[in-house]
Amino acid sequence: MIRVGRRSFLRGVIGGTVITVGLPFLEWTHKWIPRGHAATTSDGFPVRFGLFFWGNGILPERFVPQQTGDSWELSEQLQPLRSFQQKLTVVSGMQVAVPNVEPHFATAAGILSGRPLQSTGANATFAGPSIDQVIASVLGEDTLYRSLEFGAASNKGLSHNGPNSINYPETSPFALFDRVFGKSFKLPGTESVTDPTLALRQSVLDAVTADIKKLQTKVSSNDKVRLEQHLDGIRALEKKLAKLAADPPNLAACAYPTQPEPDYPDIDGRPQLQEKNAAMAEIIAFAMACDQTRVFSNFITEPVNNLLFKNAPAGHHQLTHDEPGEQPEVHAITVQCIEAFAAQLAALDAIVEGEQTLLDHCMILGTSDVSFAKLHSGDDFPILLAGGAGKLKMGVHYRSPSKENASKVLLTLARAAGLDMTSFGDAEGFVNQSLSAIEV
Amino acid sequence: MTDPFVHQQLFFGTRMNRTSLQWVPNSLLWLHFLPLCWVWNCEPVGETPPAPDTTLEVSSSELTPAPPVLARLTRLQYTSAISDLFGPTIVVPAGLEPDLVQDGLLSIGATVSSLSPVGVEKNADIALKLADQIVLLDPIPTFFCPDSAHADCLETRIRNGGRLIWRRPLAEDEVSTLLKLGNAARAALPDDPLAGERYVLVALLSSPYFLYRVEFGEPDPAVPEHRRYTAMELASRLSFFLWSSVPDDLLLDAADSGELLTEQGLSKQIDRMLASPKIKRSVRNFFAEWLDLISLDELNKDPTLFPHFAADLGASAREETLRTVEHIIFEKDADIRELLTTETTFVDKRLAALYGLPATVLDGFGQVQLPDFGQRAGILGQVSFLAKQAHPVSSSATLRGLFIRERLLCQPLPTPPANLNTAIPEPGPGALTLRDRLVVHMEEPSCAFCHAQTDPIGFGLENFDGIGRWRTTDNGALIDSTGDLDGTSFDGPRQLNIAIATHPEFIPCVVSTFYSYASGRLPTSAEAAMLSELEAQFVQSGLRWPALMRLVALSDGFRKVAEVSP
Repeated sequence: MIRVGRRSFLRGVIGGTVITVGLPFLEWTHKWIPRGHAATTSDGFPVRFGLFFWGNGILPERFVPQQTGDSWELSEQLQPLRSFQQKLTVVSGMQVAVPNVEPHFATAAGILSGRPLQSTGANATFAGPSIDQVIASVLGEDTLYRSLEFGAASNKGLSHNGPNSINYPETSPFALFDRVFGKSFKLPGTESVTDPTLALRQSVLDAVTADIKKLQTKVSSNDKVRLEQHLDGIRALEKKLAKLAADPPNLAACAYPTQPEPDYPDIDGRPQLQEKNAAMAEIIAFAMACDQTRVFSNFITEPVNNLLFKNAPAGHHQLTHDEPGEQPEVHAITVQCIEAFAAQLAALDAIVEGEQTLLDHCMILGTSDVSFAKLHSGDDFPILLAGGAGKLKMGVHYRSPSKENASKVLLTLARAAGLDMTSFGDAEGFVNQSLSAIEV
Repeated sequence: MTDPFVHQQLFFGTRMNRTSLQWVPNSLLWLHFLPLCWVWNCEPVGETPPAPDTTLEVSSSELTPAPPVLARLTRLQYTSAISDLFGPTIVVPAGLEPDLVQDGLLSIGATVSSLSPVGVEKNADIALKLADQIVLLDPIPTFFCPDSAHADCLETRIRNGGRLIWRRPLAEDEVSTLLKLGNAARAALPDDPLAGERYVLVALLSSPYFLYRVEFGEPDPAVPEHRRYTAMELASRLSFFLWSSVPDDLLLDAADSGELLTEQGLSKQIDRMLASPKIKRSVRNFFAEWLDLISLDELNKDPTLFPHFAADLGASAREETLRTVEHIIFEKDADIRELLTTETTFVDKRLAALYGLPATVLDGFGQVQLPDFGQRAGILGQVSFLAKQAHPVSSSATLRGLFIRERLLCQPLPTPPANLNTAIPEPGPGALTLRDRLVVHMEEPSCAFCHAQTDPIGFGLENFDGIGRWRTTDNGALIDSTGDLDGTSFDGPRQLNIAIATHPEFIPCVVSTFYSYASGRLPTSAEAAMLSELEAQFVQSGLRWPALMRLVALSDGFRKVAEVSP
C-alpha cells in the first residue's frame, strides 16, 4: 500500500488556504447563515463526512449495547461491526423530538435536518438542508464534487438542500463510477491538457446564469428560491470546470477503484444489496482518497422500503408491522443493514493516509428513519458514529440519561466539521447545546 | 348470486334514461342513477346517448384566476420535446433528474421542486451529448436555414431553432449572446465545422427558457383589469397539456398571428391537436401519473411464491393498463367509466398466463376478451393495480382500499398516528383469511378510524392474490368478498367496480385530478364553480375523454391568470 504524506496532501489540496463560506440566500437561511473554516485533522488531512442511512430502523432491545462508557460489548445487531469497535461510538437514548406526524418521514427529517417536516401527507418535505449538506457547506467548497449521494436500493432521496430540493442518490454502481472516474477523471501526475471546450462550457454557464438572474426578478419569491437552487448547481458546475482545467490533486492514495458490473440483476427477486453496496463503498472511498469530494451520503435503503432481503419471507416494511413476537426476521434484516455499514467502513479503512487510514479522517454518522419500526418510534434512536476524524471520542457507548434531543449530535458534527454554529435545527428539533460527552 | 347485471338493475332500475336527468350544480349524487348501459355494453335503454357535443364552452365570467406557476419540464416532457424537435433517432442519454411526485402528480411536483446540483451537472452533460448527435443530422431539424451556404446562416438557425426550443421568438440581445457564443466556438474549435451550431444548441438546451415553462400573462385588452396568458404562453400551455411536449411550428404561427387568442382560432388548434397522434402521449402520461403506473418499474414480488413474476412484469402491466385506456378513449370513444368495467384487455404471454387466458399473439400485446360475467374486469382487475397495491408476498386490502379512496375518489386519509402498536394481533386458530386477521382493526378505535375507510373496499378484491391471480380461498378458507362502499353494498370485484364508477365522488375526482394535471397545481377554491361546470359538461358529452380535454383547454382557468404572487 502506498502511503500518502501529509505534506503532499496539504500542498496539493488545501494549500494552506482558509475558506470562509456563506450559503446562498435561501428561505431557510433567514435565521441561519453559517460561517466557518473547513476543519482539518491533527495530522493535517481534511476532515471528511459520510452519512450511512438504512430504512425501517432497528429493534432497540437487540441494538443498544448493555454496558456504557469505554468498556462495552457489541449488541446482537451491532455484531457485524466487531472489527471497528475501537473506531465506533454508539449514542443511545437520544430522542428525535419533532412532531411524529408522518410515520418514517417526520423522524427521518428530524434526525437528518433537526427540523419538523414542512407540511404533511403527499407534500411532506424537509424544511431545511440535511446534515450532509450543512456540512458540505464548509467541507465541500474545495473539491470537484461538493458531495456525492448514492444508495444500492434507494432512489427517492433524503439529502436535501432545502424544501423540495433533493440530491437524488445514484443507484447504479456503474453510473457512480462513470460519474467520478469516467472520461473526465485524471490520476495524480497526469499532465493537464488544455481543453478548449472548458471555456466554451463556461460561456454557456455565463449565459444561463444571466437568464436565470433575469427570470428571478420576475417570479414569485418561492420560485426565486427554486431558481437560486438552480444557480447553486451552476456554481458547483463552474467550480468543477475550473478543477478540470487544473492539475489533479497530488495524492499517493489515489487510484482507480474496481470497475463495477454494469448491472446487478435481482436473484430470486432479491436485490444484490451487499454486492452493490460494496462496489459503491469502494468507489466513494477512492473518490475521497482522490479528493474528488469530502462529503458523501450512502442511503442503502429508504424509509418504508418493502424490499425482499436475502432469506427474508416478506418485504422489510411489512415484516416490521406484521411479524409477531420478537421479530426474528426483522432482526435478520437489520443485521444485513449493519453488515452493509461495516462494508462501508471497511472500504474507508483500507485506504492509508499518513500514519492513519481514511476512515480515521472521516466522521461517519450511521442512522435510520425510525427507532422501533413497529411503533414508528422516535425514542432511543439509532445513532452510530465512526472514524471520528480526531474530533469525536471513539470506542464509547454514550447512553443519554435524559432522552436528550438527537439534534445535539448534529450540532456536534457540524461544529466538528468547522462550522461556527451555536445552535442547530428548528422548533422541537432546535438545540443550542452539542453533545459534549462525545466531543474530544 | 354473482351476476352483476342483476344487481345493477335492482339497484339502478331500468326506467332511467338520459333525457330525464337534470344537472344540479355542486351535486353529483344523481350519477348514482345514470343508466348503466352507458357503461356496460348492454342494449341501450331509452334514447341513445348523443354524440359528444364539441361546441361546448366553459364560461365562468366570474373566475378569479390563480397566479402562474413555474413548471420544470418532467423527464417525459424533456424526452418528448427532444424527439419532436430533432426527430426520433436522437436518444436522450440517461441521467435526467428524477421527477418529484406532489399531490400524487408529477405535474404538480414539477412546479415545486428545484433542480439539484447533480441535476444541473447531468443536464449539462446530456445537452453536450445531444448536441453531438444532433449536429450529425443533415439538415439539422428545427435549426432551419434556407440557404445554408450563406454567412448569416448561424444567426438564422439561432432565430429559427430558438423560437421552437424556447417556445417564443428570441429577443435581439439573446440572439447576439448566442451568436457570440457560436462564433467563439468556431474560433476555439477550428477543426469542428459545426462547432458554432453545437454550442448554440448546448446553450439553448441548458437555458431556463427550455428547462422551465415560463409564463407570466398580460393584461386582457378586452377587460384590462383581468389578465390572460399571452398567445405564445397559451401555445406552450396547450402543447404541454395535450402533447406533453413543445408546440410545433403551426401552433406557434397561430400564436404569432394572434389567431390563438380568438375563440375560433383556439378551437381550431385544439381540434388539430386532438387529431394528432401526439395526443396519445399526453393521455398515456396523465393516466400513468394518476393510476400510479410509473413506479411499476420498482415492482417486487417473491418469485418463489409468484412464478409469473419477472423484473419486467411491472412494465408489461403498465402497458396493459395504458392500452386499455387508449382503447376506451380512442378506439371506442366510450364513457370513461368503462375503465372500471371493460371486459377487453391487452395481454402479453405472461399476463395471459397470469390471468389464465390463452395468449393471442406470440410477441407483444394482443387484445383479449375477459370471460363474460367473470369477476376480472376493468383496471382494478389488472396486475398494474392488484400487484402494485399489495405486498411482495401477499395481497393488501389496506393498500388497495387506500388507492381507491385517495386516487379514484380524491378522499385523502390521515397517516397512521405515531407510537401506535401497528402489529396485527396474532390470529386465533380460526382466523385464516386476511379479512379474519384484519377484523381487529375495526375493533380497535385508533385503527378503525382509517381502516374502516380502506379495508372493507380492499376485501372486495381479496379474490385476487398479491400478484393478481384469481383465487377463491385464502389459507384454505373461502374468501368473503362482500362489502359496502359508502352505502352501496357489493358482492365481489365486479360489483365493487360498479360501486366505484357510480360513486358520487368518482367523476369530480377525475375532473379535478385532470385539471390539476393541466395546471400544475391543485384547483383553488375560486375554481370550484368552474370545475362543477366542467363536470356538468363532461357528463353532457357522455363522459367522453376527448371532450374533457377540450373543455379543460377552453376553460377560463386554463387561459386566464393572475399577477405573479409576491
